[in-house]
Amino acid sequence: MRKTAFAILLMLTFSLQVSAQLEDRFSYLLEKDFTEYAKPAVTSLGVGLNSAGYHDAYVSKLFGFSVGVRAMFIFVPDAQLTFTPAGLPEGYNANKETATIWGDKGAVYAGPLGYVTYPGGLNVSTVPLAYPQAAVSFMGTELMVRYLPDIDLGDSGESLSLFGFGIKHSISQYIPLIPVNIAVQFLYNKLSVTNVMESKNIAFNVHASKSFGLLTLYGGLQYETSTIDFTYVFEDPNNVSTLDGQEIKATIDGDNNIRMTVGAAFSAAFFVINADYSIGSQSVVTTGISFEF
Amino acid sequence: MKKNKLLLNGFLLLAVLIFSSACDVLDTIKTFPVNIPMSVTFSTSGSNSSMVQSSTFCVNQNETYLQYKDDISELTYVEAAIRTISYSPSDVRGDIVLKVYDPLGNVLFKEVLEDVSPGDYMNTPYVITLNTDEFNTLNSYLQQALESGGDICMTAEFSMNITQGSAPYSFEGALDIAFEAKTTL
Repeated sequence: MRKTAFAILLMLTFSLQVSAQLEDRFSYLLEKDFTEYAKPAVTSLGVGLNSAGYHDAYVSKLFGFSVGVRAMFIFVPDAQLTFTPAGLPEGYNANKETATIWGDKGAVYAGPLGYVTYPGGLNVSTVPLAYPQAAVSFMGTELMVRYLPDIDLGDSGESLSLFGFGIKHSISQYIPLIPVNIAVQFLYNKLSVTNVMESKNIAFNVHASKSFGLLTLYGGLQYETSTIDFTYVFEDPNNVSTLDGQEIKATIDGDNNIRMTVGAAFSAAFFVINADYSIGSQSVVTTGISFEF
Repeated sequence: MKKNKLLLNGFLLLAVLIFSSACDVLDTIKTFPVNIPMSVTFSTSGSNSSMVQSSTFCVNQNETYLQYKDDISELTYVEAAIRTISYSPSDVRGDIVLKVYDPLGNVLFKEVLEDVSPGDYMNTPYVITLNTDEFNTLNSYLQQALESGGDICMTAEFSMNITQGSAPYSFEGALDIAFEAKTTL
């Protein structure tokens, strides 16, 4: 149990490390290239935060309560590990690809002003994420909340915070003798690093489930969007740009739009363990453990 | 009952796998690479058809290097190029030799361009291809110098033997070189 708690803590730390490194790296890029560099991370964060909204379409008509932890692995496809720069100065040829935030080596480009270099990436193709969530339900409607208090990111005065909520409503309660449970759900999640970034994620899904004793099979279709607003000061490591020191504000949309999810949940007394797999712009395996009644 | 136990174990195994794999991912992000670009310029003129100039440069005086110097665990060569900034007369041609030495005078790498016009490398620098020995020698020097904690300096010697064009001659060029520093978090 202590090991599990440690692992959850590590995964939360992962988010902190990524955000700290992101700031170090993207300060070297102008908006056009920064957008391509960071987009896979925007998508990953969106995929992660828009996941784990449900593991059952049944919603209690009287009163229900659930609290637990969701952990996931997001798989970044090869195509999102590199990009072709668009912001090279005149006279330079973008003849090779360079790393995105999840890629490996940053490329260097020879040209009339010397080398223009791009930052490397974190060299990961799977991204872990974990967060706590709780829900209450009554009259066929469920309200879910995700929350992390402000976590100090060090001496810089920046802090990371997470807030999210979801509203789910049972549709099957209006359809007599229907053999499966069906529900619709709206999700909103916001992850912020003060003065650096704000990630807003919205999702709408319809999902269904069917129970077989202690086992519940579930699946759903979800539409989602993810956007991150970044603010940073451009630092030119190549000394070839006149924009050195300029504050840059960038809004980046993730590639995640539609996903399909299939999964299963196992109930034992007041505990439920679930796992599912979602196919989308980036696929994700999610698992969770909840205490619920 | 047996089926339920099997299912429960399956779910637990998946959860453990996700948590333990997350730790592996965390291990991989303990370092990140930073590219360090540098340029060493040469300027020479005169009537002699054989021109030589050398210049010393130190990686540890680079701004980007200084920013991360306490966290750099590995320093490696990425790429180098020869670039012409200006030259005269316009029809000048010759053999260009570039040698880069360590502080003890050992050649780290050498590039010879025979019968070329400097104008060819004004807009498109000539990218140097190091052979395996040169690559290993250079990286070995960089790592040793880094670990010793002293200066990481090299001397670039540029020479041109002019075979075409009338004096007086002038040439201004640069050796552009990029290094990668692996920095720990």
